[in-house]
Amino acid sequence: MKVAVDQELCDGYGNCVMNAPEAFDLDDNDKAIVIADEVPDGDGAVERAVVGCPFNAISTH
Amino acid sequence: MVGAGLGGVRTAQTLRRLGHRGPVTLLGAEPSLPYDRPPLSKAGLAGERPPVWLATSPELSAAGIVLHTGVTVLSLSPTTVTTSSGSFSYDQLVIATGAEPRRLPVPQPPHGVHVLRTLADATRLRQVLAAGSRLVVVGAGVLGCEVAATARSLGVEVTLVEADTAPMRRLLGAGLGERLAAVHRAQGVDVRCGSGVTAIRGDSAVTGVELADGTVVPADNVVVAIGAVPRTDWLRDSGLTLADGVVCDESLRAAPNVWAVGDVCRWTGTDGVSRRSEHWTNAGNQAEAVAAAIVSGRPTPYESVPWMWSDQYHLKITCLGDPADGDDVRVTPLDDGDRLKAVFSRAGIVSAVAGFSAGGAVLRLRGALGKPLTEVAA
Ligand SMILES: Cc1cc2nc3c(=O)[nH]c(=O)nc-3n(C[C@H](O)[C@H](O)[C@H](O)COP(=O)(O)OP(=O)(O)OC[C@H]3O[C@@H](n4cnc5c(N)ncnc54)[C@H](O)[C@@H]3O)c2cc1C
Repeated sequence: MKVAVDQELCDGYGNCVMNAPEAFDLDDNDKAIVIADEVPDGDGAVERAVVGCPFNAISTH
Repeated sequence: MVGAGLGGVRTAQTLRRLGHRGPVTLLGAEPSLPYDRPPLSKAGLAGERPPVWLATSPELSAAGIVLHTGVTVLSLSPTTVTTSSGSFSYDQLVIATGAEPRRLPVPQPPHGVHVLRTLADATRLRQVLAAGSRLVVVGAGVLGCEVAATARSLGVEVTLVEADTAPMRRLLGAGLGERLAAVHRAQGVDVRCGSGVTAIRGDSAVTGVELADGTVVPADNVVVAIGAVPRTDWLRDSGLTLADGVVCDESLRAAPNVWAVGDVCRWTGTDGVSRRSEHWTNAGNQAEAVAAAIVSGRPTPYESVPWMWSDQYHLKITCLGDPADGDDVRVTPLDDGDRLKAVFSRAGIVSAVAGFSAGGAVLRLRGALGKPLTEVAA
């Protein structure tokens, strides 16, 4: 599956990087960016990143 | 789940996500739907963001989670909880009652003294933060610093009073604390460290705050932000061990079939150290760990790296790991302004990494925790 971060909603708290460092990083403006083109379906770490985002800024499809 | 804040809600949601089939019930004392607390001292207090709901009614019913709002749990037995509106029996119980603001132990007038923990507190406080009014914030921990910053952005005249030598010193150490004090001063906050509050003046409403050194700071409103106390009053006769929180083992279990998560949980780490955390990420992580243990029937030691953040003015302050008093701190400025990263070490071993608007740089150093400082590039 693919992962996307809504940059408008993201407030740079970095929980996604803590949960799934292979999929997310923070850029120099403290906004989350996706660094993996594709992650395995049902990837537990990415699922935790989705629910662990304080602003529901992460989606998967 | 007793307590419908982040810990309770995330436990319920994770139980469902992991396939738990039986009934899931959330009991919460507050009247509203569950909401997120961090915005209450930041954009939410400034009136820039509506409440962030942790779950909506349709989401809860779709997940088969029954939420009872406005229900206060009064006591606990090994099979049942007794509440302000009836009893509920349980097979597994998760204690997620959070913490409540510590009160200032001095006499105070009935109007003008505030605390900030709930949505109702934030709504009330927002109404009195008029531009040009005078606010004294007592306590320069994370919460007090954020309230000072937000109030200042609304044009309020702010004095930040702290008994310790610098803001957020307990978390960040004296060096970064002093830098933070300078940030607040540059924004026009009167930062006064080293003097505790001895009295709040005023008969019916606040007129000022008296400090230990004898000075009186005039005030229209006071926010008391001197820490939080875990909410364990209802557990007094439960037989559980209480010691600044509900005492749990390594897997967050307080007794057979009874667990605790979030601000109320005091657990023993795999390093043998007893801890309690008051941070968002920890509450969510503990909730997921407990839900997983309940669904699998296999409790495992809870392990997670402490991670916190705080928004103050243009700065996002982050801290990864467990800094302690007396750690060596190596600060690297990242620009001509306030951006920096700081590496904390104890006996040459990296204990924590903190940053001012340097979340990415801090997180990229997560592999350095527990390693020799000499292995960390400057
Ligand atoms: C204003 C504010 C800003 C914050 N900002 C940050 C931040 O920027 N970063 C960060 O990492 N952390 C922050 N935190 C801390 C974070 O919000 C908490 O760690 C988190 O909310 C803890 O979740 P919890 O579920 O343990 O407790 P809570 O969220 O406090 O939820 C506990 C719930 O239990 C209910 N309850 C209590 N007793 C009973 C009872 N007997 N019966 C029924 N219900 C009961 C309470 O009413 C409450 O709704 C902030 C906290 C506050 C207050």
